[in-house]
Amino acid sequence: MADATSAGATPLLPGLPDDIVIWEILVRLPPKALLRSRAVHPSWRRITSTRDFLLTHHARQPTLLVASGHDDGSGEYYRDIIVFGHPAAADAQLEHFTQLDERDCSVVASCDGLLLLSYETEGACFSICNPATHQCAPLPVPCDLMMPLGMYRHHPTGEYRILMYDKNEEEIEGENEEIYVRDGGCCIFELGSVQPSRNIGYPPEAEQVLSRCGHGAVVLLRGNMHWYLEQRENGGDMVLVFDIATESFRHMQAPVLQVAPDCPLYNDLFDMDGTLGMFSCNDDAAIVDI
Amino acid sequence: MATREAGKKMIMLKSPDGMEFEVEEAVAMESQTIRKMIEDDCADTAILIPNINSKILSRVIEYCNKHVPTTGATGAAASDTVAPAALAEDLKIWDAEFIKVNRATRFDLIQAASYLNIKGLLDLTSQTTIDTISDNSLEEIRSFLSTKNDYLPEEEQTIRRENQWAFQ
Repeated sequence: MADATSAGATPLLPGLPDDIVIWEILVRLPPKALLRSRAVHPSWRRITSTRDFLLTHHARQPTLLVASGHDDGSGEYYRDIIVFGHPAAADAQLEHFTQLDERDCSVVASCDGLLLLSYETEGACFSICNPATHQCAPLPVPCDLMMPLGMYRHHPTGEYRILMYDKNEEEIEGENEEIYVRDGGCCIFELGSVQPSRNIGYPPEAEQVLSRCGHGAVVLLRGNMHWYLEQRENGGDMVLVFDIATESFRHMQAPVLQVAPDCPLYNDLFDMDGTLGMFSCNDDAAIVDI
Repeated sequence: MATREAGKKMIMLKSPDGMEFEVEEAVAMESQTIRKMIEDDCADTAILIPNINSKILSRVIEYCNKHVPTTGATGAAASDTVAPAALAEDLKIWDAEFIKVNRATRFDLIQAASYLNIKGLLDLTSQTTIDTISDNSLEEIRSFLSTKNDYLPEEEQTIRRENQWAFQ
């Protein structure tokens, strides 16, 4: 029973098989204890850094709501990222997890518990942040020209990738006197990669999706990212779908609305326990379609 | 044990050291592993539980007996007579007593709970170890593991820096 599964000679915890230590004990550690445990022994660090382990650990964590708010108490415009503690807790515990006061920062995308943050500062940058572990890492992407549309895990490779929209269509002069030519279009950037982002072409709706950025419009579900597209001249509203595995766009008919068409409506998509839903609201009513 | 009233199906569990335990089917089905065997009709009258000796198996059965959803003789839920909150409180006290065992026994119980897939027992038995890792200093954890510090001082510093928040 006590055969070592992967560690070889020394078991992770003498008296228990490694499998049980990893999948029954270590995955149950709270995030802080988990990070600390990496300093216990090199084998613990190796085990708790694998992707499978981290995803399993993440799946066991309570779902946290993330709100981005601002506080202009001292006359300056501040932005904090606030992570709501356990929703079940009697009084909502607010955890300010970053000290971002000096910088104007907002959450632009999220995936598997990672947040993509955007800083609106000079030489602005994106960074990836894990609120559970309070760790942040900057992204080597020139961001004044790029708008992120969504973040996802590419299933065939398991890499985290960001779908970006490149706003620039003209020649620009780079820092090293090099001339970059950009076509404008959607790019994919791999996290942890030093490769330049890949251009995958220009769906005409990308601009429209962009204009809705900040409304929390992307829904990541069943291996696809979904955006709601506003009414088009020639018919019903559409849903733009980005297939994560093939990294290509397609369209889907949006649900037909049951309200008088002259009402100004705000429509958007949401994910409800694995079902794609759509809600509409105006001043008078809110409608939920599934 | 053998004189249970009719209507309750009994299952025989056998440990590898030759002991036999007769338990109600409902009690045995607290184990998802055994439940699956019963549902798949793999279990006639006796189920051999490999790897779990009679001492541990009897404690597991003790736990399942206590935690099986209790039904009265007429089938009415016992919560008709006992307040659910009091029942839960009673169980909690019972669990705390149950887990007062030495480390070797606790580890055997974790393995048994994992093999038999009894979620409540697994939560209960692994929590003590989780608390040990969460609440103690690195040195204390290492001595708990009877392992030595295999990191060079600078390596440990790097890890502390990478995971700064966890050491605050």
